[in-house]
Amino acid sequence: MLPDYSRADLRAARRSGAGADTRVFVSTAGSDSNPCTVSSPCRTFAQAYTAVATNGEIDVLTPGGYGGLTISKAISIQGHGYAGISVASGGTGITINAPSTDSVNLNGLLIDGGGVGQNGIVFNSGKSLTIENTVVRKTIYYGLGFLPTAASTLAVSDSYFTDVPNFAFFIFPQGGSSTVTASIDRTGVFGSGNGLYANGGASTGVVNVAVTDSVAANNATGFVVASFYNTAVVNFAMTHCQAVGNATGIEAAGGATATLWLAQSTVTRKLAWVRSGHERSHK
Amino acid sequence: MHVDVHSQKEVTRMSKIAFPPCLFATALLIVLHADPAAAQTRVFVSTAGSDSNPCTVASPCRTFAHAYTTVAANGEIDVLTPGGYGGLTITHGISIQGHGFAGISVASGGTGITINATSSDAINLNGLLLDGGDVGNFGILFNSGKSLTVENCVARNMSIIGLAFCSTATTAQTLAVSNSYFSDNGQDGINIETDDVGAITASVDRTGLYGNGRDGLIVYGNSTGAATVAVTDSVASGNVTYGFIVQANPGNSGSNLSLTSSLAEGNATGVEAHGGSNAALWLAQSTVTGSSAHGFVADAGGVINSYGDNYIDTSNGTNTGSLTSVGKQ
Repeated sequence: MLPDYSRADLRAARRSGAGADTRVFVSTAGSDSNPCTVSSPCRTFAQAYTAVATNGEIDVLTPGGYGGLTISKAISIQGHGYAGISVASGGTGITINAPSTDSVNLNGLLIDGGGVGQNGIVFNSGKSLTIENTVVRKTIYYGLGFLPTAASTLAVSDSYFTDVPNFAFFIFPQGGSSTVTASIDRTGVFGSGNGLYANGGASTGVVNVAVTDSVAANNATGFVVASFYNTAVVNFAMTHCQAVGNATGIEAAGGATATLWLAQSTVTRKLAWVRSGHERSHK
Repeated sequence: MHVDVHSQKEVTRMSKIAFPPCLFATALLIVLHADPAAAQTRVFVSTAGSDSNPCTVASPCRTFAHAYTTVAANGEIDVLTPGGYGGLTITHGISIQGHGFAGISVASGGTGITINATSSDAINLNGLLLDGGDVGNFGILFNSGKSLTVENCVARNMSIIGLAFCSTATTAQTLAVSNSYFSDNGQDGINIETDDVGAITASVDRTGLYGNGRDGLIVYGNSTGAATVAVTDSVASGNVTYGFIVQANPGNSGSNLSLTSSLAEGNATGVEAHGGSNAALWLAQSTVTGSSAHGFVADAGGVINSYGDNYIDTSNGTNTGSLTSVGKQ
């Protein structure tokens, strides 16, 4: 006597994969020998991933740590602000190697490298990645490394990337001549080496980055755009942002093809260090 | 080789006009066994509940559809635990409090939440996660009612539209959206459309419209009713055709879309006003960047009014038409 919606969900799940569920559940009270249903949740993201259909959802029931995973299909992870991932030494919290048709959504995750984990989130391929309400902190190399090999889009909002000695938030397309688009809204990069950095030096296409209502504070460099060797055209538009307490607040470096656009923003401490890129200010 | 992307868009626009989403409105849900005398003001759902329960906090039920049959008009459905609760059709005033962890998986060809309410009914949706899995048609489909407020909601991966506010009524209706996002839908993130004489007033605040297969947000004066929409602190990024667009058919009494402190980025066309002398876009303190075809388009009589304080940089393609200066107050 199941309600209609449940039968419909099951039909959809059957179309998408033998036995795979549209929504699967993890809980600190669960076990990886469970089927990952709401009444028998499993314990780790990695196990839940094996049970969920493409375009499905992993839903986190209770606060706790759920371990990292590699994503190679479209999926949504709803952490509700209380789902943790502790990144092991040398490891990566979430790795995304998805097909060009697949969108990945990460919402409400707390990724902590504990000073030893290598990377928080690394995106190598896929149609798009959207990140909301997520914290990545204390990894060594990348907080978020957005490194697409083809045309991909990134949208990040209401998130923080902090205490990463190398690249808190790095947009760095790898090879190819595609257009990569990234929007970053209401996001903070704090206490890191490079704060928010877009680099076109490894591709020959177009990289469009727009940052709104965001803050870079207490980093070695706050907001950076570069395209060394005049490779990709990189446009980095900052509106209504704040750079404070960084050794270098904003930087446009490397090549006539890298342009930073500044509007309604506040930069305190060293204003800007322009090497050979373009910085344009909207009057 | 010059490819005239705009001409291609014109063809697309004409074929789109004949396809209002509200024709998908489902039949009214006929409630067979609700007993008004026993209806509760606040009812509860939980993944630990059952639809044979009375939907109290101690005995919650399992689905939104069942909880709806037990709640009084203008009551509240409260979600106790994270999980999926299924879609429903709303025909009276109600509030659904999902707390950010209530999911609705929309079945193939289906709609998550359908609203066919009366002109005195206010509906509130808060904290819901609607996912179409690329097969569900609509996340939220509003056909009639007095008002809809949407906060802290997600509608993604629908095959057609995330939030369709269609207004098939002859009375005025309002929409307020905040702190939500509508992404990866096959057509539009948000589609606000007048399909009768009733006027629509809408505000959209702190909302993200990402990666939709057609428009981030479209305001469409399809029928005579006027549409007045204000967008603030919002982002339309990576949408396949338009970031923000206002369009009006001849005979529409006026469709106005204002963008303040908002961003259109990486869309084919950032912002557009299209149609007659009755479609107007108003731009203030906003940024248009990284458009692959056009930063802005004002065509077929559409007007883009600019307060002179916007940022439309050279990373966009060409623009079509011109901006009309309006003075700040």
